[in-house]
Amino acid sequence: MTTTVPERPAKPTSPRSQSQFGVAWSQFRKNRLAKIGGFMLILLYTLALFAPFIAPDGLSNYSTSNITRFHPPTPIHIRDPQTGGLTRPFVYQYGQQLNMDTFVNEYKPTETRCPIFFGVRGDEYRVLGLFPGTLHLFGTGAENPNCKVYLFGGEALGRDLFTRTIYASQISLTIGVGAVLISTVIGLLMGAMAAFFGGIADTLIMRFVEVLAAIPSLFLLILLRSVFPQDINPIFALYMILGLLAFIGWGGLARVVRGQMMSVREQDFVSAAQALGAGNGRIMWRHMLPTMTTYIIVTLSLSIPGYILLESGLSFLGIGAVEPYVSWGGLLSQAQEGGFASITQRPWVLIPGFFIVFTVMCYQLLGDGLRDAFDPRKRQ
Amino acid sequence: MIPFLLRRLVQSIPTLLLASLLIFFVIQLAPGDFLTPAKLNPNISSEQLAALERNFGLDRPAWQQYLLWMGNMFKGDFGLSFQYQQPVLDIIWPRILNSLYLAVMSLVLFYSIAIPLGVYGAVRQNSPGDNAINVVLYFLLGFPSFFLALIVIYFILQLRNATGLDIPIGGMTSNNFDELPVFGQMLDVLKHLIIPALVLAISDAAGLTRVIRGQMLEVMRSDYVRTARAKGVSERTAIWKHTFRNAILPIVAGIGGLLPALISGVGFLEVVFAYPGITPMLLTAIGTQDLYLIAGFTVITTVLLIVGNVISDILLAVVDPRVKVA
Amino acid sequence: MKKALFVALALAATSASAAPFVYPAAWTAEQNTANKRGGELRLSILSDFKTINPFTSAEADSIPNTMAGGAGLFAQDPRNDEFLPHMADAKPVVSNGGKRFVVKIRQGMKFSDGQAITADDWITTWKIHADDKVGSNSYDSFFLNGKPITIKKLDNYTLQFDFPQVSAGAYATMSFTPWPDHVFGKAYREGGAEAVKKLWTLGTSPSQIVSPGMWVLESFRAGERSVFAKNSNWGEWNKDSRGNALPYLDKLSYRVLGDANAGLAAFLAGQIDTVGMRNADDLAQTKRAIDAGNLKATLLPNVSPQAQSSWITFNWNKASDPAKQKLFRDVRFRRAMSHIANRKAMVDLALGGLGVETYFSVYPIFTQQIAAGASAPKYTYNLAQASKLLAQIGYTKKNAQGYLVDKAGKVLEFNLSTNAGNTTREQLGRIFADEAKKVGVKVNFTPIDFNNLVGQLTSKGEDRPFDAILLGLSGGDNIWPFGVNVTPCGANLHSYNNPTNGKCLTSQESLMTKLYYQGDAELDDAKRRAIGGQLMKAEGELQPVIYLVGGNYHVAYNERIGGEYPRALMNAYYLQREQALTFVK
Repeated sequence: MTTTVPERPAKPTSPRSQSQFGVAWSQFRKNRLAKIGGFMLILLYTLALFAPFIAPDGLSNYSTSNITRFHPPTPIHIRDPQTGGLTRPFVYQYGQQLNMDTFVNEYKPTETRCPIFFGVRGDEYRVLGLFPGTLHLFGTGAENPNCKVYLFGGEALGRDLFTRTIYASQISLTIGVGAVLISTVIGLLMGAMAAFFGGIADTLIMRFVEVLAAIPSLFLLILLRSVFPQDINPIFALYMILGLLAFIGWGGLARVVRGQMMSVREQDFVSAAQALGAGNGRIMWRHMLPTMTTYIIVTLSLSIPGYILLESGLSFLGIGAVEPYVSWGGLLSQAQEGGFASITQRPWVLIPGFFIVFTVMCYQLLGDGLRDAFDPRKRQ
Repeated sequence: MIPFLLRRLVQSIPTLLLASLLIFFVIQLAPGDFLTPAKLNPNISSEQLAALERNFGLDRPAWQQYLLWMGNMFKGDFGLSFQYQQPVLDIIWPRILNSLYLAVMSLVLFYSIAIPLGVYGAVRQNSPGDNAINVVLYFLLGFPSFFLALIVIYFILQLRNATGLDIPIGGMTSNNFDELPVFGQMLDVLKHLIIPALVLAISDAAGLTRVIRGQMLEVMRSDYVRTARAKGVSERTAIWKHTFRNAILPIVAGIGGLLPALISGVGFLEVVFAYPGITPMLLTAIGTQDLYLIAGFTVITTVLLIVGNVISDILLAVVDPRVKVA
Repeated sequence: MKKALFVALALAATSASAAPFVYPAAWTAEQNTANKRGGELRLSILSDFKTINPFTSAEADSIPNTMAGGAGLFAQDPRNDEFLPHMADAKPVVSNGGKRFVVKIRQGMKFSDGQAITADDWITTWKIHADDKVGSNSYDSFFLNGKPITIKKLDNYTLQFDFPQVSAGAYATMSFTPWPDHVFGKAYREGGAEAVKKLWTLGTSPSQIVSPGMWVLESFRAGERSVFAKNSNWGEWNKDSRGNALPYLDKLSYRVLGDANAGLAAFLAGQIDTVGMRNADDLAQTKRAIDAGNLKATLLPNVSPQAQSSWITFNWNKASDPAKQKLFRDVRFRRAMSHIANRKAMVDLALGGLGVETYFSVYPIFTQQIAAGASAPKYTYNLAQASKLLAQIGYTKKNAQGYLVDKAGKVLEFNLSTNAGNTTREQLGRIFADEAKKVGVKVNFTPIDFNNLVGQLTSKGEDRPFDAILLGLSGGDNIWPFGVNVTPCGANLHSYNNPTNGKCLTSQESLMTKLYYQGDAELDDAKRRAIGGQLMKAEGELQPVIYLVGGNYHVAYNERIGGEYPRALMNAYYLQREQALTFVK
């Protein structure tokens, strides 16, 4: 019950898909919320793509001598406190001490100022694993390594949370895409086949769905993880595993598609096509599946956030992304582990949680807009 | 109808056999077993480990364990839990019951939130109110439930401190539960149920709200509603009697699918609220690889899933006369 | 002759009078001088109780262990770790070179159902525990190196224990809880092990449960709460220093709070009386609540180190990769790894500044043993020294990425795993890997599934499937704080070297094995600790396992309860209080 259950698809429209998409697009543009959702998603994916460039620091950089555990966010100053005039943006370096009375690492700004540069050289990285670079959008440079800008504060080891959040978006935003594609395609085909052929095919497919639903997926996950060799990249393994889970995760979709298609099958235009002597394949591909266009688009846009939430649940159970890599869910479950301290002492560690909330919301708004746009009877 | 039910009953036998096979071997093949943690105990010798393995039957080949389990299951015996040394059904039954209270409570709240909001969204399509409900519900939908629960518990704690009210933080009963009269006991449980049930209902309401809104829109523009309006029935009748009744039909048809969810509990929320439902027990069982406990519970949910699907198929045919029960 | 007779008469006289056991006044910081009685001590547990049956129970927090409180022949005195006669009437008579103990049982003791506690109860309990068909968790404690300990009933109130060899842990072994012969003995004689296993499951009505200790089960609600009532028969032979019957409390209750945050919330809301303080965050939250006036509680931070360890072990049995095997077997490499472990940063970052650095298998809480091994070598954080040692092995050059390479150009690297989901261990591993990178050692650190990890760690053979593992252990006692399945060669947690034949590889291992058994058979505390000191020295030199850090134990309890230990007696081993002396103010 975590994602929107997509509603019944549109009743068949004429297969002039060109103009259908045209109409849908113009409808979509009228929906402000959907446009905002879509725009924000594009922004988020761009951030993820250029994460190493946008992040001021490396994925797992921290100092063992200069403790920055749960460093508070550093405000960026643009006025010189003495003269009051505008200056290059800067942050103060902070000093830290563990207060043995309150058990909190207390941070106080020192006098040292660190100017923020744009397009600064810093930690080495590769965009998409291909293009090497050292340029960062902003940062404090290498002059004083102990003085950094912490937009979102620091996490448990003192690593920059903004950097980690941006890097985490790479995993969180893409983890579900492959799995969703796989399960949608299989679910659609199986559901359509069951509905169209009926009889034995229907029985076999639907009973198979029931068998698949019985598999304890958490165990399958643990089992699959143990099968992968240990020196393989753990993130690659995670993607593979979720992809494999998709092979058993199409049952619900297939049932819905079957139900829908069974209604469609009884409709006049299908009977007409049959009467005109159209073959099975043609009826299925040309007449029945196109009625599912809306449904497919909407399912796609609504299942991906489902996987984002699923991954966060896995992180909560300790089987998500592993050190030094991290996902939003992983960052959030670390905050969860801190309990109330995360809320009262260091609320900034909850920020990754709001990235999840925000992304899921954007996907829902977009999916909603698409659904309304493709459905002729919901147009205004 | 009767031949349909009979056919499904016959079909369910190979389905269940295959399912049980998969359940058993997926759990069995996962690394380690119930005794793995004992291997890390500095005080347990390898001789004792071997003895324990014999006692639990874990030294036998997997297929023998499976056949034994399967055979016993036909006699209604789901096996013994390793952790509890007690029959599986005795252990899961009280917890399923607890989960059922919470699930039913939250379902009631869920429908009573989602239906009015969905209808409102359709009647006032794209109004500021519709959009606001949209955004708020989608916002809540995005919270992983464990995160939402932590925030809720934190605020209850603050509220307790601020008001001095005895708002329950977790669990299902108060300390003095056993001394309360029957009516007081019911009230006590209800008091504990309401917060987790509400959290769950609100955070999931987005899905159903949108479905109802969409269905309402679809039906509202159909010819017969237009005819009804033209005849001059009141707006209220047009919406509730003519539109709503037809709009919720597909949802009614899907009710069968809720069956396994009713006993599977409400997930992480039970853990965070320290609720004595099925989830905390299952997670412990998964953590300790309590083979028969997990397998037994999964078999039960699979049976319920099959039953639920049969109900759904019947309802689908009832709702949509074009579809025949086949 | 006359003198001997006099002694015998005196003994008979004391046993007839059946003097009660008196809890020393020094065991609590707050005397219950007003003799406040009644009330409930409210505690919490992380997972549901699994059984009531003491013979199938496998967990430390369990119903039988709660009922067993205050029911053993001897009880350890937290002031000096010595054993006092508790259910025993007096110290045992030792003979046969320290292998035979004759123990007089205190007379007049009764189970909660009123039946007398006699020698038969011990005999039955021992027989059932030692039957491998029962699968009791205490099975091992009735064997020494595979040879059984035997117990004989001399008369209704006299037991004779015969150990196959001298054992330092004899008093602890003899202090097992006697369960009623009229319940278990009967079933065992009639139906054997299977009949015993069927008794006292969670489905059994609490009214049928019989307890020898201070608590007896009153009610049980699955997944929610268990309540214990005081056993007033126990109070007849257990008194406080003013002669009042114990315990003062009427009830003890456990609430199941599976999520640690829910446990803290319940404590902060005053719903439970004490909760484990996991870390600095818990302390900070409790402190906040106290300062804000929302909670009246006592908070004692850093009471002692925890009774647990964390370490990295290197696999010496890698036949498939001779280069790595040679590396891991090289003591200079392991010393270098100890020099790399930045224990201070680990304490500061992973433990929030509240912890201690550790260098030995002995938990830092066992201070007497640690003091006895003070001369053992420590290889503290020193990257320069690590580089020097690695250069001696042949790693002098670095490649373009800054990693050390050997003559053939092969990078110095290994895999390190820990169990996924344990944040502290993941952070320890991260810090270790990042420090290693500074000297040019490439550590591929990956958290993996717990069961998988344990499978690798406890595997036997010439080619075991891991490079290095970061994990921790807990458990063990303060009498001989070395693990029977850790220290000797061939034991299943002898994690660094576990070939098929179980043979030692180095002279230090052989020495450690020898010293382990020597210490285990030494009854004199000081001498035993001296042996332990030698063992620590061998262990320090060999560095088979790199010990990292340990967290601290903190105490927090609601002000409404009194009777805690004096501050000097509290620690992670004896915990915060005697339940018998606890009272509600």
